[in-house]
Amino acid sequence: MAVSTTLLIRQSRTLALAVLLPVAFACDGGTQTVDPAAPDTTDNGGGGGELRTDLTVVVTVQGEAAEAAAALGSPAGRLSGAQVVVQGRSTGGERDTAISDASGVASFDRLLSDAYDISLSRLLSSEEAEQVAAADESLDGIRAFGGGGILGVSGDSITAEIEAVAGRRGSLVFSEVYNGVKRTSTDVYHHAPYFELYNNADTTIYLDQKVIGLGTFPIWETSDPTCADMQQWLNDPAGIWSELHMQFPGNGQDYPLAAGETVIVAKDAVDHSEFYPELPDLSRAAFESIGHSDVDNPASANMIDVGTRTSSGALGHGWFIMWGVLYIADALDPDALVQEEYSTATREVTHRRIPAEKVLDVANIVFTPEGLAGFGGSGMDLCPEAVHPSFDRQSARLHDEDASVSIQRRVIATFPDGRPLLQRTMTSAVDYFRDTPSPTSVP
Amino acid sequence: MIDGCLRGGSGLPPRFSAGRGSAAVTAILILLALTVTPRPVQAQDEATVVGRVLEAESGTPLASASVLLEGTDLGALSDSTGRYRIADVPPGPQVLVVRLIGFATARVPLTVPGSGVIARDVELSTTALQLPGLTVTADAVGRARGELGTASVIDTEAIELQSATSLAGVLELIPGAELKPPGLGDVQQFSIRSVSTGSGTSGLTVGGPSAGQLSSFGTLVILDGVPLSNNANLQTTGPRGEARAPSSAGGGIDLRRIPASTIERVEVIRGVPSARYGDLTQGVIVVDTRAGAFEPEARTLFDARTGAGSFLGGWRLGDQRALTGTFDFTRTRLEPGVVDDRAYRLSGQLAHRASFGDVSPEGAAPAGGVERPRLVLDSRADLFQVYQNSPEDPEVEPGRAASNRERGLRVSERARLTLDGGGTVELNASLDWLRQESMIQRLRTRGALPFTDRLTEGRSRGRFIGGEYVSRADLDGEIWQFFSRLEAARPGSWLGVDHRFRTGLELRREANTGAGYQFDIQFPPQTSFNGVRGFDRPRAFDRIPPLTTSALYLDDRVVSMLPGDVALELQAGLRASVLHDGGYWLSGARDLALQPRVNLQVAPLPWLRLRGGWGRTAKSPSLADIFPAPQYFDVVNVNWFTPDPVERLAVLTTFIEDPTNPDLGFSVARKAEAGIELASSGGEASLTLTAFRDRTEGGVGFRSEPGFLLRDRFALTDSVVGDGQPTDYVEPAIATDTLPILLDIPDNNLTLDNRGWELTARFPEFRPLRLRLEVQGAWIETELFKEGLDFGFRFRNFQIDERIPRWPFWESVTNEGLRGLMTYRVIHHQPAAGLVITGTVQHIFKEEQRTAAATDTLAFEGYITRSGELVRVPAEQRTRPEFSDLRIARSNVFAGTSETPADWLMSLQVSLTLPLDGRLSFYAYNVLDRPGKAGGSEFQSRFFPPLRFGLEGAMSLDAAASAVGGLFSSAR
Repeated sequence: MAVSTTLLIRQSRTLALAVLLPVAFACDGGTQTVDPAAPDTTDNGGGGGELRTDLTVVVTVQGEAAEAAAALGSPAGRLSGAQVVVQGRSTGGERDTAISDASGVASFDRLLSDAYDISLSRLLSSEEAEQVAAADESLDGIRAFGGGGILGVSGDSITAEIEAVAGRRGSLVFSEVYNGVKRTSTDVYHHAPYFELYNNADTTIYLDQKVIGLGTFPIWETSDPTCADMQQWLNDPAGIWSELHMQFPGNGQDYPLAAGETVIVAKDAVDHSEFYPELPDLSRAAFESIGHSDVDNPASANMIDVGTRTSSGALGHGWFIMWGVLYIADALDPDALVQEEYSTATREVTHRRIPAEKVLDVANIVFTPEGLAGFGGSGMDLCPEAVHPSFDRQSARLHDEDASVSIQRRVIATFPDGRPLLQRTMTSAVDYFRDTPSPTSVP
Repeated sequence: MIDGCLRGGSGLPPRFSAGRGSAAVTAILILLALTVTPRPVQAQDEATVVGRVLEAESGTPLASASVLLEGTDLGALSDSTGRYRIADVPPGPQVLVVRLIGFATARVPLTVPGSGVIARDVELSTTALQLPGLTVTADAVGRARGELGTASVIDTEAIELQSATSLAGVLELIPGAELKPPGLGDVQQFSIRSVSTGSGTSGLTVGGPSAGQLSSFGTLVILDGVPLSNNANLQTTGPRGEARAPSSAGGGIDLRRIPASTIERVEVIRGVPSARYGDLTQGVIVVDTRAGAFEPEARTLFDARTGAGSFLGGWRLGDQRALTGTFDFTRTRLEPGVVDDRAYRLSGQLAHRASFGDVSPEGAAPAGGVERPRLVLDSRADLFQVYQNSPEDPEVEPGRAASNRERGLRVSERARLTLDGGGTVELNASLDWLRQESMIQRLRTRGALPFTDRLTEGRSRGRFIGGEYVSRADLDGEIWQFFSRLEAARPGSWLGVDHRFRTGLELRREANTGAGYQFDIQFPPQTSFNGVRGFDRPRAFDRIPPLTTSALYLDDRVVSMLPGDVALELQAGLRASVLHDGGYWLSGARDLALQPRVNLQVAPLPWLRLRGGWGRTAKSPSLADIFPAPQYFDVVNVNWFTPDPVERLAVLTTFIEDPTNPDLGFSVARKAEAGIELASSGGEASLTLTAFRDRTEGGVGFRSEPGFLLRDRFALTDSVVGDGQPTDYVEPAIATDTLPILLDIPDNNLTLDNRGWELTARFPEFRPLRLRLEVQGAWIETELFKEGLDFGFRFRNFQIDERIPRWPFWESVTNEGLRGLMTYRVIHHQPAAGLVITGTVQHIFKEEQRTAAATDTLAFEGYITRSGELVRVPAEQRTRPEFSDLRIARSNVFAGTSETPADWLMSLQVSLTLPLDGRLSFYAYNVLDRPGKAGGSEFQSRFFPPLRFGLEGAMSLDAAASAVGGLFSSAR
């Protein structure tokens, strides 16, 4: 029996279950449950032993994205030419890529039953960007489309709609996130992480009082709270809830960042290669986070820990979490933010909402399956929504403790003066990739 | 000495009531009642044991054999026709112990009626395997010498059949002990009537002892009449240490030092010991090693991991002197095929006995029944070394290595003078020297941090360090222990009742003069500084004052017959222990513990014995508890880490906090037990059941005491970065803030509560198959509770984050453990062939560990402010909005229950007598190679060590020499 259904990426897990359940019931009279991760050996008449599903992804657009797509020749409400990537969530899960056709449809044949991360991107060439801008002045600045979601794939065939959004270049963005953990056979050196921020705009940005932070945890299923419990905080279109945030010092224009320039915010602004040659020299980092067992480099301005919980962590060297919903927010007064509390099995959390209009950029980074196993979180089931899709459409599964790689943002174009323009589709899954650490320089 | 002692008036009143007063008062009342209304033990032709001692194979009478009634002073020597006679034997289950040089010691259980004569011939054989009724486990109805409380007696024959390498292996023969393969695997400690508890309190009990450590620390081990002590063992890195030395510090002594091959007898007093024994909370293990004259023999044991060889010999030097020598070498590979870790033991003993005056064996009635003065001098020298080495194996873990070497020499002298009338005066004195060397090495890494190696309080310029390094810490202890005891005992009749009075004075002094805890301060075991609890610095032990205790005790044991031939025995005593303030016994008292003890035994029927006991015991704190290491706090005043090293400046202030607790004193245990013993008339079947409860209060743990340090902030002379100029700081300080800390104060704040029951059953032999079944079982519940406040693992957040105005604290948690264990031994014995096959099945039918604590967000009891004020919050107010910041769950406490699956394993032992008085044994631990059971979500896994099998052999050297000599003779 073929099943055709529509799945919007904003749908909750409940809806996803609603999709899967009819499939399960349809398979065997509604008496068996189905483990989507297990290979199905039911003989479907094709001579093989595994039940596979044909997936049809319809790339849709709305609002200004629809206008931009139309300017590029896509049919109404659809986006053609988008690269759609499906990646099974199981360890070693199947990966496949397709391009949406002229009607905005990308097809995948015979996928194994699994939960899939689906991400899409459509990068605009300079000519296409000009073409979009020429169609309507308000569309100027759109350089890419992005989108994504999680989809349970089972049954004979599924059709899903994935909405693409128009990505603008933004201003201050993450260009690199480096975990900086060197795990030796006996110990762990945790002290070399850094954020690299990049001015993706054409004008100077002043870092003063801007904020780097981490969205509220947990973003994985626990008994208390569950992902459903966390939805009100994780999936809030009004902003990003956060306990941990650190603020740039300065009073307005003390810390300028020219267009096309980067700035490093290090956990420890020291030369880490002194201790492990493969780690970077961060002694010239412009900013550092400071902790109770830390050295303080006066050449590196100290970030101000303004969160409702200290970001120094147990290791005493400053900011220590380099995964989750990382955000950059415009200058703000933390004490003036909306603040709420919630209880978990382990503590009562006080967190603040960073207003949507203040959020400049988001890097939604989660573990790779292998990294998760190494972290000891093999059983962790990440919540479908770690942040509202208006901030980021799909997380990047790139994080691990490999000191030889960092997570970096793609370059979408290069200006005539050689200044890179970074890709910002608001879909971390397509905006970021893994590469050799390169503090202060973008690819 | 016995004849004529037991005379007196009429019977006891039919019943008496203890009322609701303390047991001590009850005991005194009973004692008074006995003294007022006694009836004497009947005339000597009643309740008399007679018989002959015969050579097993030929039936030849054996003269001069010592026949003793175990646990009493009653005994006799066999005459030239092999006959013996012991009069006035208390009724009930008893054990005769018969010894004669050249023969294996025989233990003969029998049930003595209230009156009359019971005849029991005893056959002696040159090897234990040929003795009828061979005992292969601890005797259920045996008695420790001079003791009425519950005891397990393990005699030579059971020890020889156990295939043990050290005392710990021998102790597996008592109820409730787990079977383990022989070897020197790791530190071996033993806890009487206690099991391990849940450990879900990593942060709470930082550095404090576990239930196992606390109970093994409170288990007294006496070797050849002199206590072994672990009180001065400082081989630990303290409560803040990040690495642990493989030593026995903090618990009981490491039993690996006592080879099983040299042990003649072990008495485990699990019940209430007499007032003679002090410095304990759990019980007493009395170990006697081989002494006197006996045929030299050699023994060897080997399996895939362990190899051992020993030599023992005892020679008579004239009529009144004997010399004994033992030597043992044992080696165990700890994890063959994985790492090259090994443990070695080298042990040797020399014992000399000289008798003056009457030459009768101790305890035996002199020939002719006339007591004559006698002096026995026992001199011993005991030398041992136990060395455990875990060398670095870069392929397994670079930088990791550890070793522990413990060696010692003990010389002791016991002078026992027996006076006219049977009184004795005994002086014991010993001097122990112990050298303990532990090394721990780890590869560590740390981030860049300000650092000082200052050893005194004050502010100084520091430096910056960081990166990977090898840290090595050495603990070098040199312990001197002096022990002496002067004891006088005298039998007598007072108010018509037979008494045996005993009084004694005991003096102990224990000091550690070693080089101490040493490490290169630049490469410390700790990898961060300015912690909540501070850190250690190197510490020399020789500046630590000695631990000095003294004790005075008085003890009386009475025997009386009640109407209806009901025998009653009572042992009551009082011990006063003093913990002294200074290094000498006259330098003041720090604490005093009065310990009344009473044991009562009634035998209303010959086959029935009812027992009960109550008493208090006390254990002194260890030297490490009384004189804890100072806590060092390095507070950073200036932290100027420029890219150019020339410009860098670190200024730190070192604070030294002394966590010594002047009020620290004895921990005191209240012990109570009640038991029933049944035995068949021939003693071949018996059943004992004992219920007990031991509650130790005032065990030494650590109390977290909050404190605050003041941290100064300074301006710099040059704050320009990159000018290449060195900088300095400007006094006075421009600002000062507070830094919360916690001090780990040793405190009598632990309560250890053990309760349960023990069962032993010995069934008659099933003669067609020559099979006998012996069953032991125990159900033990242990609870460990710590009084005091818990500030939680994340108190460090409060320390470093000045935005946190207050921090919650919680009450302590309770850790519990329980274990139910049954051991079944099926013995097939053919005395004629000298063959013994023992199959042992141990079934652990219940094992559980619990941590009970409130961990929800409303569990906090109150809060501490940054000014150090402790404020309690009533439970009904904790939900108020103003306390939302305090509603933090206890992240360091893992409350809940974890069960280990029930399982069983089987071991097998086959022993066979060989020619030349030899013996060969095959042993197989976990003979079915059962792996255990994996745990589920609510279960911990149980892992049994894999199958281990080996051989043990023993040979009489005299017989071998004779055989070789005979061979040469015939060849000629």
